[in-house]
Amino acid sequence: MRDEMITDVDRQIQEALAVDPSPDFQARVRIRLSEEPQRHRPGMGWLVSGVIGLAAVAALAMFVSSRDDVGPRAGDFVAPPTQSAAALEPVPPPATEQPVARPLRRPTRVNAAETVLVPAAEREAFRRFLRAVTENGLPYAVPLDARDDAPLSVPGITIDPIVIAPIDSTAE
Amino acid sequence: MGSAGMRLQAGRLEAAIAVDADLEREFETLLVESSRLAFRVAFAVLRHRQDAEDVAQEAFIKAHRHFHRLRDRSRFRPWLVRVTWRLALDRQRTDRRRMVREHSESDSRGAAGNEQDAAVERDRAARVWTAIDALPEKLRLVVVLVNIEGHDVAGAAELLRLPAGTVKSRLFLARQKLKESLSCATK
Repeated sequence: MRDEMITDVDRQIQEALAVDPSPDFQARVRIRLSEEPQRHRPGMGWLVSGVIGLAAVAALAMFVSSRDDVGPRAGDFVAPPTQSAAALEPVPPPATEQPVARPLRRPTRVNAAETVLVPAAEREAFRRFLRAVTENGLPYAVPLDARDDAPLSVPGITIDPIVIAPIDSTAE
Repeated sequence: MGSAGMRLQAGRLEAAIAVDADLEREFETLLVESSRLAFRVAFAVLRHRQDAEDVAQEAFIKAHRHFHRLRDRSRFRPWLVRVTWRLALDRQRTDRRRMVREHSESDSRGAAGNEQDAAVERDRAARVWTAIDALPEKLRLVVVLVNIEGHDVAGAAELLRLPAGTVKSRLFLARQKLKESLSCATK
């Protein structure tokens, strides 16, 4: 009796589940799948990361090379304090032996700054001039009582008379 | 170095796209083979055609999203059954339409003969389904799978990825409980 009941139950379930989906079920699933956003492919994360990394390295390399071509900029260094003012003071200028440029941002560019801002020949000439002025004084003298607005005194000019000999008309 | 790297990346991209196309073809095959199974699993829970189709469709969408991670394709049907079953239970808990049950074809055939017999048949089917719904979930799934498409214990064990002995014992327990429930109901 009970086995018959179980058999009956199984039959009931089998009959109840003997239902098929509607004919367009698979088509509707396909439509839904096509509306899904693009699936993330396996390994694509590494691919995208690799491409981005290569692009970043290339951009960085281009940036660095372009900066090297430009050379030092005026803003990177401070020109030395005018040594003429320092040298004109009575104290001998030991500062002439000091580094000419002080780097603000990039210490490696000190020599380049000296070359660019003050050529060596000009610097040496200026140094000689300062040394000469310090040791020998100025090459010209300025009167202590001279005034800029005083009238110039010009001594009188004497012109000797020119003697013209008479022309001899009888010579022809 | 850079161009070689780019060529390597492009080659990998092409390979990934080719693999993707293969996966789509494989999924299409599995969709054709398994759509009835997914629908019936959902229908066993909901017993409403439209709801069951919605749930089965949702299960396929979910399966498609994660299909590339499934290395062992023989696990697709068990995986689909589990997903569908879980979604159907969720729908059953939340959807009020489950109250409107679709009668089986046997009910319709019975109704064609005699109205009184059909009413008796509907009543008996309702009692059977009430008893099945009262089963613990593990036993309930075994009963349903064994009776879908004439699956035997081995087929259900394959779908559940359980030993056949486990399925057999669960089926035995489920039938015992069904007997008790239906005996009480008929008294």
